[in-house]
Amino acid sequence: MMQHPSFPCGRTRRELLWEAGCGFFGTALTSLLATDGFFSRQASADMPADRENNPSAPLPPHFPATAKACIFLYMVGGPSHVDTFDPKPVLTSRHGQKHSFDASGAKTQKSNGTLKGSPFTFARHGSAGVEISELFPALATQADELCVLRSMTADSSAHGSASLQMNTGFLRPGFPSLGSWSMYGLGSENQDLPGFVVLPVSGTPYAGAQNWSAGFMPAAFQGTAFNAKGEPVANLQSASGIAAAEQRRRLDLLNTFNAQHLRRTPANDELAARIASYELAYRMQAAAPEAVDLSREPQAMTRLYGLDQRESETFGRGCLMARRLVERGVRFVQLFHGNWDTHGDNDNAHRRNTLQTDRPIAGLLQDLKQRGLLDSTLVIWGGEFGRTPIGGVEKNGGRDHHALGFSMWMAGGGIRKGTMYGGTDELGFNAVDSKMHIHDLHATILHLMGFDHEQLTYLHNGRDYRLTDVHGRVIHDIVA
Amino acid sequence: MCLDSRMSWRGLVAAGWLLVVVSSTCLAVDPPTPQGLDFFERKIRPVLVKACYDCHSVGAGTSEGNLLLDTRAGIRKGGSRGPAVVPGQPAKSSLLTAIRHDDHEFEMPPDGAEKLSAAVIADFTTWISMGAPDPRDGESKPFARFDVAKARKEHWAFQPLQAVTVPVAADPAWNASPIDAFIRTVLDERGLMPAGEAEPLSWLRRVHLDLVGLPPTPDEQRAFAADPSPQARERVVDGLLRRPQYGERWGRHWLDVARYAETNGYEHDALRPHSWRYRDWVIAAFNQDLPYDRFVLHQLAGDEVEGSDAASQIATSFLCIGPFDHVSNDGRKAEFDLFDDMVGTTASAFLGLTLQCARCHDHKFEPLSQADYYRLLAAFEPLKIDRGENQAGPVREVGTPAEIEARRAANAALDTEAAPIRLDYDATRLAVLERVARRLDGPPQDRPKKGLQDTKALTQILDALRLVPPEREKKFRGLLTREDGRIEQSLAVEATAEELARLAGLKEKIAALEARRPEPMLASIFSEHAKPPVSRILLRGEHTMPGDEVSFAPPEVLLAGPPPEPQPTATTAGRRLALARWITGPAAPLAARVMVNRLWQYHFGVGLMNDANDFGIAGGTPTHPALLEWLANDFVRGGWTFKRLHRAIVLSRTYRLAATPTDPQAQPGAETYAAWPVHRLDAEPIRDAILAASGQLNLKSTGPSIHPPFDQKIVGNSARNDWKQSEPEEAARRSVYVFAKRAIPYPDLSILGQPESSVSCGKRAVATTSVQALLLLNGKFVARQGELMAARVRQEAGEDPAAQIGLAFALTLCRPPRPEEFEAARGFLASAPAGVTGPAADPLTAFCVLLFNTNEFVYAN
Repeated sequence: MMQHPSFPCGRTRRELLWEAGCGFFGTALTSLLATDGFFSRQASADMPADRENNPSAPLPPHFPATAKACIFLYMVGGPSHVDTFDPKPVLTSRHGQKHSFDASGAKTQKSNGTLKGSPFTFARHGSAGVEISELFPALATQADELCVLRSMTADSSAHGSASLQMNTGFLRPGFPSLGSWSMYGLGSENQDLPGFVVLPVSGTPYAGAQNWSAGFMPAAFQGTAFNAKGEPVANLQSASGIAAAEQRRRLDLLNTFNAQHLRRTPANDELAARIASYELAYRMQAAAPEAVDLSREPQAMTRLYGLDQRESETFGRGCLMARRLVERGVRFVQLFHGNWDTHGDNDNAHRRNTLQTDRPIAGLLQDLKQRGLLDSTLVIWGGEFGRTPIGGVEKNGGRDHHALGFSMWMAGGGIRKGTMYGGTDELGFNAVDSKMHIHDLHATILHLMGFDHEQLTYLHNGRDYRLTDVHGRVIHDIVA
Repeated sequence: MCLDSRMSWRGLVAAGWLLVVVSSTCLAVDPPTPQGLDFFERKIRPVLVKACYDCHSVGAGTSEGNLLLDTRAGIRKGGSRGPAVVPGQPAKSSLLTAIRHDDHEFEMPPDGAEKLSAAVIADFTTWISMGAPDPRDGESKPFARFDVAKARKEHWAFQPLQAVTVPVAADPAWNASPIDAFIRTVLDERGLMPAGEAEPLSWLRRVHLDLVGLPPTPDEQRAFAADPSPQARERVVDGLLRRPQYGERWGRHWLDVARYAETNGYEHDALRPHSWRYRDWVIAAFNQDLPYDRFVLHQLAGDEVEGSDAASQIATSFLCIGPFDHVSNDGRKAEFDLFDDMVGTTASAFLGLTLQCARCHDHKFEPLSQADYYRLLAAFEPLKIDRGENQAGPVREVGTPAEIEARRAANAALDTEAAPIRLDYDATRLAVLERVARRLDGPPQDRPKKGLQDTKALTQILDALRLVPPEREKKFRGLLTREDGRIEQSLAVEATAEELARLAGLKEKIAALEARRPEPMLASIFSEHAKPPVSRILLRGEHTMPGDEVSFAPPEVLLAGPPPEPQPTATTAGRRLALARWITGPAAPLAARVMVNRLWQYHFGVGLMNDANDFGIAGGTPTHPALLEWLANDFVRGGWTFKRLHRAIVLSRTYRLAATPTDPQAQPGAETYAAWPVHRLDAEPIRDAILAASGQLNLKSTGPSIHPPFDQKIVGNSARNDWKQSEPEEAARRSVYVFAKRAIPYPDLSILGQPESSVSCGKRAVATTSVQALLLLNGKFVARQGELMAARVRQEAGEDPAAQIGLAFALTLCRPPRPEEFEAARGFLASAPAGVTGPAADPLTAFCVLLFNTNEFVYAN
C-alpha cells in the first residue's frame, strides 16, 4: 500500500544520477560542497525523495492525521492503576481482607491473598472532573487535556514479553516497534535528525533495545538512542573533536573518491544515496547537539519542566529534550522512566517515581500547548501493565504484575480531551467496561497518525504483517 | 457412549428402543420433540438462513472459519473456534459468544452488520438449552481453502527437479561454463550486451571478500598481477576455499538463516553458555565441505543419526538457538512459541516455506493447512523443554557413548591419583591455619596483620579442611574457592619456609594432574521425553484450545507418496530423523533449489529468487528458472557439496564481469547480470577488512565469543550478564566471533545491518543511513584502526607520501591509485589540518579513516 512519490521534474532518478555521475559530481562537487550550506539549499539533489534510497523520506499517511508526532512516556515496570488513575473506594474499604479472584496465571501474578487499598486520595480535576490521585499535583492542573484509559488489558504479566507487546504489538521479539511503524508509514520531517529517538534517560525497559528495534524492517527504522548527557548520539563527533572546517576538508576528499567510483559504476542509486548520507551525517553533527542543548532555554522554561528540583531534574531534561526534538520535526520520541516494578514498598516507590516525573510531564503538556504543538503531538503515558489489587498490607508492602486491567493516558494529537474511558470492576482487578486491549491502543494511535491499522502492512516471510497482527479496533469514542 | 452423530434422526426414531437406552447418559442425542423442531423452524432456521448462510453454507459455496452452519453435523462440529453449538450448554457454544458480541474480535454477523436483536439472541439461548433440536441431516465438509493436488501440479517449486538442457550461446566464449551459457542466452534474448571483464585486481578483491570475507594482501595482489598463467584464477580460488577463513565467512551466512544468538532474549536475556559450539560446528561444517544433506540431517537430528557424535549432537543446537521466554507466566505458551520457532525456522531455512503463517489458521496464500503446521510441529513435540539452571537452557554432555565413558574414566582416574596429594596439601594447610587460629585467640601484638583475621571465617575454613571433598562441598559449598585469596595470604605469613616449599610442590603436582583433565564437552541441546505427548491441532493457535489429534507428517503439498514413517531410537521418537531424511530425500527438489539460490545470492548480492526464504506461490518465479534448475540438479548430482558449486560460480565469466555496463542507458538491472551487480559488503567483512588493513586482525579461530568494546551507556535492564570487555588482541578477532546478545546487538555490526537474531533471515536489508556514516567516520573503533593503519603504513612505506598513498590504497582498495586520486591524496596529506591536535591531527591517519569510508571500500565492486 505504500506510495512512492515520483521524482520531481519528470525525470527518473536514474537519469538524474547518471548525469550527476558524468559531470556534476565528478568535477564541480568538491568546490561546490565546500560552499557552506550548499546541500541544505539543494535538498532534492542530495536527499533522494523516494523510499528506495532514503528509507526515511517523508510520505503522506492514508488520511489527514491529527497527530504528526508522538511522545511516549514509558513507565518501565508497570505503574499501579489503583494508586494513580483508577480510584477504588471499595478496595480501600476492604483493605486487609482476604480475597480470591477467578483468574488463571498468565495475565496476573496474584489472584488471591490480601486486598490492598490505595493509601492515596483521589480528587476530580479540571472542568471535566478527571479523577487523579494526589501523587500527581502538577499533572492535575492539566486534567482537561487528558484522556485517561482505565480499562487497558494486555496478554502477559511477565515484563519481557509484556514490554514487547506494548512496544511492538507482539509478545515475542523480532517485530517492529511502534516508532518504527510510524517511521515506515510517515518517514521523518527532519532529515538532519533521526526520526525515531529514544531517551532512556531515567531508566531502560525490560528486554532492552528490542523495544525500539525495527524487527524485520530495515534498520533505518529503528529507534536511535540519545544519551542524556555528553554526546547525544553515538559517534556524532570524532574521538578527538575536529573543527568543522577540517571535517569539511575530509569529506571533500571522500566525495572526490566516491564521485570517481560512481562514474565507474553509473546508474547505481545505492551508491549515490550513500554519498548523500555523509552530507546528512555532517549536518547531523551540528543538528543533534543543538536539538538537545538545553543551555539556552530560559530559566522559566527549565523550571516549568522541574529542572530546578533534584528529584525531577533528570526526567525533566528528558521531557524538555523531547519537546525540542518534536519541534524540530522528529516523528516519534520515547522516554523511559523507572523502575515502577513495586513488588516491595509500592507506596513509597510510587511517591518517589511521581516526584521525579509529575512536574516534568505537566510542564511538557503545558509547554506543548503554549507553543501550539499539543494539537498535533500525541502524548502517551503508561507501562507494560498495571499492578495487582492484592498485595502486601504490611509496611513496605508491594503489588505484583497485573495485565487484566490497568490505566494509561493520552493527551493531544486529536485525542478527546478531559475524558475518562472504560473502567475496571470495583476492586480494580478486571477491566469490565469498554475493555481496551493494547491492539486497540495501537490501532487508535495509528488512526490518529493518519493510518488505517489494517492497511499499514509490511511484507515479511510470506505475510503482510501489521502492528496490530490480526486484532485491534480504533476506539472512536476517545478520538476528538 | 454417544451415537455416531452422522446417523439421522429418522434412523434413530426407527430404532426407537435404542433411544431409551441412551437418553439418560447422552444428552446430545435426545430425540427432538415436535415442539423443539417447531421452535427451530420458526425461530432459528430463518435467522440462520438470513444472517449466516451467506458465509457458512454449501449453497453459498463458502465455509469461512472452516465453519458450515447448514447441517446439524456442521453446527455441532463447529469451525476454527470449536463447536458452534453444544446442545444443552449455551456457555460452551461459540455461536452465542459471536452473536452476543462478547468478544470484539469475534462478532457475528461481521463487519459492522447489524447485531441480532436481543429477542433473537434469547431464542438461540433457549434453543441451545433445550438441546438444540435440529432436523438438518447430512455430512458437513468445509470447503478446502486450496486445492493441494492442483498446487502440486502447477507451482514450479513443488515439482520434481526437471532435466534442463544447457543452451548454446551465440558467442562461444560463453559456452565453457553452463552458468555463463544460461546467463548469456537470456541477455541475448533481451538484447543486452554484457559488460567487459573486470580488471584482474577488481576480480581478486571481489573473490577474496566473497569467499573468505577478507581483502587480498598487497603480496597476494602482487603475486596475482605477476601471474599471467591461465590457471592463476583457479589457484586463487582453490587456495581460498582451503582456508579456515572460508568457513568463518560462509558459516556466518548460515548463522543468519539459523537465527543464531547466545542469549534467550526477553526479560533477562540470560546467557546460554555453550551456544558458541554451534557456531563453531557451522564453521567447521563449511570448512570440511560437509555435504548439505548431512548438514541438514545433523542440525535436525544429530542426536538420532547412526554414529551420532559430539559434532552431530552439537549441530542440533539449531533447534533451540532461537529466543525463549523463560520467565513467561504462561509456561505452556512459551513452550509452544519455542516449537513454533522450530517449525518456522525449519520450514524457512530448508524448504523455503512460510509455514509459520499456518499456526492459527490455514495459510492465506499457500496450499498449507493448519493441520500441515501441527503435523510438522509433531516432529519437535517429543523434545523436553528444559529451562536449565539460571535459565541457561538445557545443557548436555556430548560425544559418542565411548567418548563420554572415556572422559568419565579419565576423570575418575585423575581423582584417584590426585586424592593423596590433595589430602597432604589440605593437611599441611590445616596445620598452618590452626596456628593462625591460635594467634587470633592470643595477645593483640601476636595477631596476624594480613589474611584471615576473623575467628568465625577461619573456624569455618578449618572445619571445611577437616572434611574430604564430597562431604566438604555438601556442607561448605564453594567456601574454600571463595576464600582462596585470604587463605593464601595467611599461609604466606604464617607458614615456615619448609611448609611453603612443601605446599608449592604439592600445588604444582595438583596443577600438573588437572592439566591432564579432559575438556568437558557440553552443549545447549534438548533431549526427548521417554514418551512423546499426543499431538493436536491447536484451534486459533491457542494451547488452551486443543483440537483434532494429528501425527507427524511433512506438508501434504510436498508429499508424493505416504509420509515418512519414523523409526523410534533408544532415546527418541525418531521423528526428526524421519523429517531430515525426507527433506533431502523426497523433498530434495525444494531443498536443493532453496540452497543453491542462497549460494547464488551470497555470491552476487542478488538472488535468482527475490525472497530466499519463500519458494511458495507468493514467492513467485526465479529470474532465471532454467539456471536455478540446472544448479539444483548439479548440486544434488555433485553430492550436495558447496565448494564445487562455489568454484563453478566464481570461475565463471559472469562472475568476472566489470561493474560498468556496456550501455548504462539500457539500465539493465542487477538481476540481469549484464554487469557485475555492485553490492554493499556485509557488516562483518567491513569490520574485518578494517582490521586487516590496520594489521591488527587476529585470525585465531573457534572457542567462546569475544566482547569488543562498545559504549555501554545505553543498556537495558536485560544487561544482566555483563559485557566483560576482551583484551585488545582478543577484540581484534573476526566479527563472526563477537558475542551475539539478543537484547543488545553489538552496535558496530548491527548498525551496518547484521540482522535481528529472533527469526531466520534469508537476506539482509541494506539501508543507507547517516548513522552508518557517523559510525565509520567518527566511531572509536575506526579511529583507533586508522591510527594503527597509519603507523603500519609509515613503518612499511617510510616517509615518502607517494609510497604511503600506494600502500594505503593497496591495503584498503586493493589497487594502485589512479592519477587524479593520487593528486587529491597528495594534496590532502601535504596540508596540515588547522585547529586539531592529537592523533586526529595526523593527515595520514585521517586519510586511512577516509579510505575506510569510501564507497569502493564497503562495496563488492
